[in-house]
Amino acid sequence: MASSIPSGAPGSREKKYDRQLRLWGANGQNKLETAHIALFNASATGCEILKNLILPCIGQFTVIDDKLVEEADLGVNFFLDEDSLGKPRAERAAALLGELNPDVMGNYIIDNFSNLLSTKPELFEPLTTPFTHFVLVSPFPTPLLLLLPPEIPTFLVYSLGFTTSLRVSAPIHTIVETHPDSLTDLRLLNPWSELSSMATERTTNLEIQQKVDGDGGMSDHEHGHVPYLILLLKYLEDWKQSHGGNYPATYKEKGEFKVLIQDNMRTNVPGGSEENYEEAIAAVLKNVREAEVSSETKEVLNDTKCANLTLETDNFWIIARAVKDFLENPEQGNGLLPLSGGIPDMKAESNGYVDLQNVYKYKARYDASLVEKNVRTILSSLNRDPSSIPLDEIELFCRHSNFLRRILYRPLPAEFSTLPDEHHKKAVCAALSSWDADTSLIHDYIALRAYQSFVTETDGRAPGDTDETLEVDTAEMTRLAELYLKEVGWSTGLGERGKNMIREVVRTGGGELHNIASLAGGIVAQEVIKIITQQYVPVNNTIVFDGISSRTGTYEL
Amino acid sequence: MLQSGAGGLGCEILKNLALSGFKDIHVIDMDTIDVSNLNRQFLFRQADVGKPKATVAAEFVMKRVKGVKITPYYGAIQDKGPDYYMQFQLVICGLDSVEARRWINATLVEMVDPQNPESLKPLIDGGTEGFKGQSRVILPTLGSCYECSLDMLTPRTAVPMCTLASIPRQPAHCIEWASILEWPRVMGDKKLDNDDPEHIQWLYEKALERAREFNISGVTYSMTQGVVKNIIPAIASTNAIIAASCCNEALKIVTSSNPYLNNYMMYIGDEGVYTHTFAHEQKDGCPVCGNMATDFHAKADWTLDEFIERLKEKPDVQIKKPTLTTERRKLYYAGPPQLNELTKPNLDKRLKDLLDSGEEVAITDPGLPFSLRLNVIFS
Amino acid sequence: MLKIWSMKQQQQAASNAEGGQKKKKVTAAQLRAQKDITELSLPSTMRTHFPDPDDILNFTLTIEPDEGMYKGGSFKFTFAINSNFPHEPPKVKCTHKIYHPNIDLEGNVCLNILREDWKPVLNLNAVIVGLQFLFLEPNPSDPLNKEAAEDLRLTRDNFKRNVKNSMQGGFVKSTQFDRVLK
Repeated sequence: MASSIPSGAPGSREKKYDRQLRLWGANGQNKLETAHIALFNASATGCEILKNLILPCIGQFTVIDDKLVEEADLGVNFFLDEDSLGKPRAERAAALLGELNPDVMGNYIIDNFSNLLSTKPELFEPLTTPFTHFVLVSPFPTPLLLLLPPEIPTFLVYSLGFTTSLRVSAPIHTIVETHPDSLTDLRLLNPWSELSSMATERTTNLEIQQKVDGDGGMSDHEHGHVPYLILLLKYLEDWKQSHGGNYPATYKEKGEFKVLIQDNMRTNVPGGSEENYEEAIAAVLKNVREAEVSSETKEVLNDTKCANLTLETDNFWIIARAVKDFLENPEQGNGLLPLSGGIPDMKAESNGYVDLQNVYKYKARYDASLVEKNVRTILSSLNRDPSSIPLDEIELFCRHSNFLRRILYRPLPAEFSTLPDEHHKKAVCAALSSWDADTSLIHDYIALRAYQSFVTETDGRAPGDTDETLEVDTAEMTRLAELYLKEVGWSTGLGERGKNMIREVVRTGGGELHNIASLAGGIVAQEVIKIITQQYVPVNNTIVFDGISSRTGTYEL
Repeated sequence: MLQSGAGGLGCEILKNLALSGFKDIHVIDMDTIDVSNLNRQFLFRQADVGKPKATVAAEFVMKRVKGVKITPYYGAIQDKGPDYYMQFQLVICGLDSVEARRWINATLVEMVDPQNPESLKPLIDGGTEGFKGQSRVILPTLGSCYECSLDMLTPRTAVPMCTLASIPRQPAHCIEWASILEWPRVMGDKKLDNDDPEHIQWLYEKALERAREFNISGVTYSMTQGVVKNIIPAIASTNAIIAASCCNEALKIVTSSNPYLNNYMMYIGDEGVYTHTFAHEQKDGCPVCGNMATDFHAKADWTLDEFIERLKEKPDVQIKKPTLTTERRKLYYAGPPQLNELTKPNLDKRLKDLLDSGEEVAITDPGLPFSLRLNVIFS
Repeated sequence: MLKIWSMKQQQQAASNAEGGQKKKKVTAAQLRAQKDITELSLPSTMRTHFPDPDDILNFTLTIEPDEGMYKGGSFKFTFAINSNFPHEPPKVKCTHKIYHPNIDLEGNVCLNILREDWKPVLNLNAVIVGLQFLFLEPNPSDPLNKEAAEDLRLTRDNFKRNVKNSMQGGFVKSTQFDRVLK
């Protein structure tokens, strides 16, 4: 029977989302499509954020806003039009945003955060809320911020004139697919038996020049196609023999090791050198090293979540625990993580390469099967269905086991309470005393903190919203900023940039610039996507952008 | 205001310019809308697939934002000459090809006329890839231009032709074999159309067959498409960041409200957020902006030969065996023999019969590392 | 906008250019090709030809080796330089069907500097030297024409005979080659 070739052609969804599936795959897309984002404040910035989430296809969105559309909105918000004038912003924004993608369900609530908190508290209870993520575009008085449920990832956004900032807060965030440049782990100094035997077998006649076909020597052609990994393994073994059983460790020794390889290259060949030997030499510094567990992965494996598993524990922590058991078990990893299994492309003949690739692939599969066994045992002990975590998920985790991340987001109250915690104080003071303090964007943050206090005092009125109050508001903003600095224990007071930033914020009168709103929309959407898909590494926890100098600063506040 | 490109960056840029108060915008794009654009090019809908991007984008934004006039042009930027570009105050680009960027950059650099302030058109350029992107401000002839920074581009890693032909190891090798070697072998002169699903399907099947023959796994339709079309992943959010940055700079330049970007910002969003804002330096001997024409006074009655002799006397140019051309004709070729024979008779002709006063003569010579451009002015 | 122009004026004051009316200029790719082409150092065994002398971006190169296994042959290559030169290498194809391990039956040429090792600092001369070398030292490892390569690797004398035969327009196995004797 002739085997038929699958058509493989993509379906309509794959076609439409092709350019993003190449970044986060079906895994990420599935997560995206189950998200329901609540946007509080249908400002230009808020609508731009949603636009960038609706296009790639989140599941649902809900716009929450109690204002009516005014003339001023039209000049800055693309998702309100002339027909919208006088109508509720939430309704009109939801309608115009909804047109962007028929695959996404749009909703709106004509109300405000503060009201909803008392009339519909279920919207803010983790167990009853339909929302998976909150996006808030300021102003909101501080007491409200402190009432947000810490279980729901929240994105707090400021967009004032040329300045914008984002604060991310979320429950413990874990990432398997961090997308590092390469997952490759070659284990040259920790070869397992199949790899060592392959290296020995492939190099028995490496040094013998073939004179005639079948004389047992190695032809130039063959010699020039021995994969460089095999060459490195062979010459590392040779080195060990002549160096008391030790591998080259220092920079100097690695240099000598390169010379050893160089000396064994055949030069009496077309071109005068062999590419595979050159590749081997080039790989020495980067790849001749002990396999180590990265500090990020150690953080994950040493987290108490790994130790205290319950019926409710996420798959991530269960697999992490299984990997930790693998690592520590002398019969399993014996100090090494499960192998990722990939190798880079290298000069070699097709067969030779594929065989070598298979040695890595099989070992990775074997390691993952041991981790799988550990996972099944753990699940049984927790009275969970032992097959409830699919092998695919375990294998994906194993491939990425040296690149895991967990981020502990600081809760909003730690930053916004009247008395911020020690970490916050230290972080702000450190930024204010760093070498680049004069130009640091921490001053922009301080101005935004003063703005936050101001809108809390005035119940939402922005400083500088009328010309008459400009001077008074500047004075009040300055006072609030100084007060905040005192709270964090910074005694030197507001610097030059700080004062300028206060003036800049007051000058905007709470107004948005479309370009900055749009830019904020992009930054926030990127971070929301990273949190939802649990891929790539989101910012921890604050990013500030200054549109005058076109710079960003990130801080953990 | 001219905007070139109405794709991922272009849609954003058009919206941003309209809402920044620009009233008269021209937009150029030669592409039509494809279904794979819809995940980010938010001015287009399913029903627009197949229509010209520039036209649909212009209509949408004019309908949404009152009082803005947008003139679309469905065609290539290369269709237009300096006269066309001269009418704009500033050019802002969201292009997807290096070639188009180089062209617009060179055109704007060449347009700079020291006698005419209007001839200097700031060029703002943006580009994205996945979660990363960059925006930059180019002031033609005053600072680093696009050509100056070409070295920063990471070249697409090419695999030796012989690897494709005889020792493939990766799925991509099988795909490239199918498109570079097998297609022309089997199809002869029939041109491969990367946008034709039937062609991609053919390549995919051939690549899959070859991968099986060599026990290579991983060839998929999507990968075939990616390799053949050199697809760069693109998302709405990154485009929003870069386009907004470009428009923010445009607004600052036009209103002189704040210092504009000097001159490059990189945005890297895949691991946390990292930006790098720096001044990219103008490159010595940049073939576009580091090599501006200088004036050279000559007599209209000189023969070309005489002109060359005078040039050789110039102490600051060490030329020995020069070749001279203008945009419209070869003046004199020092080699190879065929071209030398052809152009030799020009040596005895008078300059006025070969050139107009003020016309640019480009000179290459083994003694010059780059080339020399002279505006030859008859006195 | 005014500020930018004053920068330009300062720059102008420092230089001596008076400028004239703006005229079209030679493109960077064209200028670079002009430099490369006029500075080719061609030995007597090679010559270029421009079918359209106004178009220097498309030409042919004929190689007539005076030593090695391909002595006595005359091999023609087309060069196509695009507007991205020198950031992209020239496209080179052999117009004859010849029996050579590094040139396939469609005329594709396997030469590292035409693909993976091309750099803008390389010039056309480097390409031409590389092509010439292919006829002096055909390289049997990693071929484009696998049969020819194996032939060369296993029985050099047989390969030589086949080359000779193919150059006369004869068959090697079941494939007929172009007559390329000069």
